[in-house]
Amino acid sequence: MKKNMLLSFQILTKIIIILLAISTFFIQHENPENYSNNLLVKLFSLDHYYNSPLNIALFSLMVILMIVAIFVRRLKAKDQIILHIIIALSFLVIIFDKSLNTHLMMPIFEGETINFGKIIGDDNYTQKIVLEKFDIEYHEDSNMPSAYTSTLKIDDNNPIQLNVNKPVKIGKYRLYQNAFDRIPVYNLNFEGSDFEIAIGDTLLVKNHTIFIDMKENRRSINFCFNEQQKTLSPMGGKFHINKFEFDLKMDNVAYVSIIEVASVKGMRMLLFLGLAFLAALGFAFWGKRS
Amino acid sequence: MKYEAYLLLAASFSFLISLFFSINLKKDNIGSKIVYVAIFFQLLLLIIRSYYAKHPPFTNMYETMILLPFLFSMRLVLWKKQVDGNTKYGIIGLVLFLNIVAILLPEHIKVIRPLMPALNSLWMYIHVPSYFVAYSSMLVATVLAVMLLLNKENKSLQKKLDEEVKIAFFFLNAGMITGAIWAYFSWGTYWSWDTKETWSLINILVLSYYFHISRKETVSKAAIVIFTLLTIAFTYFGVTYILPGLHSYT
Repeated sequence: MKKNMLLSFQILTKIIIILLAISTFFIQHENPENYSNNLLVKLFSLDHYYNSPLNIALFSLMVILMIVAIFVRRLKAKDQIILHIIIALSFLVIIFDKSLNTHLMMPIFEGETINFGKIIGDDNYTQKIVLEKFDIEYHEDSNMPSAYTSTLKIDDNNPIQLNVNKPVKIGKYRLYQNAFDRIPVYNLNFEGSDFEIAIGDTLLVKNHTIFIDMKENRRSINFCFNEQQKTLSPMGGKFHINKFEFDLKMDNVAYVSIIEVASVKGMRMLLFLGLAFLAALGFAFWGKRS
Repeated sequence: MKYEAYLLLAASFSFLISLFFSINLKKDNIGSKIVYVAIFFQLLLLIIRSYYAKHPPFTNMYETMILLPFLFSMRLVLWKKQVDGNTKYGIIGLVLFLNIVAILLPEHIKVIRPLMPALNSLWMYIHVPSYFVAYSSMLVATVLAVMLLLNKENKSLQKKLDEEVKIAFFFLNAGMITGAIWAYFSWGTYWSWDTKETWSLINILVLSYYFHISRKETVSKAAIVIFTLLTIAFTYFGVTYILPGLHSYT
């Protein structure tokens, strides 16, 4: 029994190592539509391996083996038992916690107001967030940013600053300064009036819907007027759709702060388990027993 | 930069002289003293690099390629019992090899680049050094493993190998755990299955094998250590240059 336990661990670890290593050579997809039709890739879920039932099952099996090893007294020393309990608990927390986590990107323009509850899909959160300012500092003689900061106003509270590595808490959620983007803002002359419109904005003018979007290659923009579309250069220009005349000119560039919203429930538990693991490992290696 | 190559050459030359004194002239006490001179040159290089870069020397491939031989050579003066006799010569040989690789790296890799904002964190000073202590221990362990393969019955070598693997395993785990904490503070996620993260887990799983085989299986133990060093080398070079991911700047 004891020999079988060790052999099982060795075989299981080998399988986990091989599958993990192979999967890193495949682009991982989240959308099932992009999954490969190749039989081997499909069989081992290699193009969506990390969240696949196979990966979860193998790590769950590892947890079961560790627990069984403790019960059949394959592990005798107290420090070894504690170490394996901590590893098993960590895997369990990770397996369950992953399914409870929330992660989403919240791009926000300078001056834009967003309804936080709507973004996260939770009506209990009624906060309105305004990006008052977005600042970038650059390294000397370089175009590499040294820091970027979003100045956010949440409801009527005093503005707060969101920096990289320094998250801000709203209830059970945390906001992280993830990245930023520059998006062109245009001046649109339509029917004798001027309008300001940025990429992604929708305008409603005299029962007409106007929407502009950046094409994926970023070399052209898509101008939508009601149901009709026109591809233009990013600089804009004068053009006609039906009987209407448009004059679209790039006016300036607006910053979009890309904020990550996350709720990681088991983090405190994992932090404790991680530090406990290191302490137990240190004790097992260099404690009294050895 | 030229001065960096000169300092690396000075360190390498000092190591060669120490080998000459220790092996050819059989004057190990003089050879050991010259090792201090070599380490001084390595340290000076790291200090000057940090001064000009305005950040510690472990934020890109070249900087880590000069940090690793320094940490590795520090093992010649710290805890000397672990690295006596032929092990010492093996380590000096590997340090020389790493120094030559660092000198020969293309100039564009050596250019000082400013830090991206996510790297400007206290956790970088814990996470990255943890890994490099582990890597230097793995290099020492590999030298010991090779010697053990040549002399399978040497109990002292087996004990030394055990100690070195324990250090490497502890710091590989410390690196991964502190990395997870850093990732949580930066991106709100402790694990992203990024290619480098996945391979760092693979390194730990491979090395964990070492503790799950019988003490008598000397050859298997030595083979696991050598194989782990290969997976670490892939994690470091292969993942950086072949597989894209969040850690592509390292």
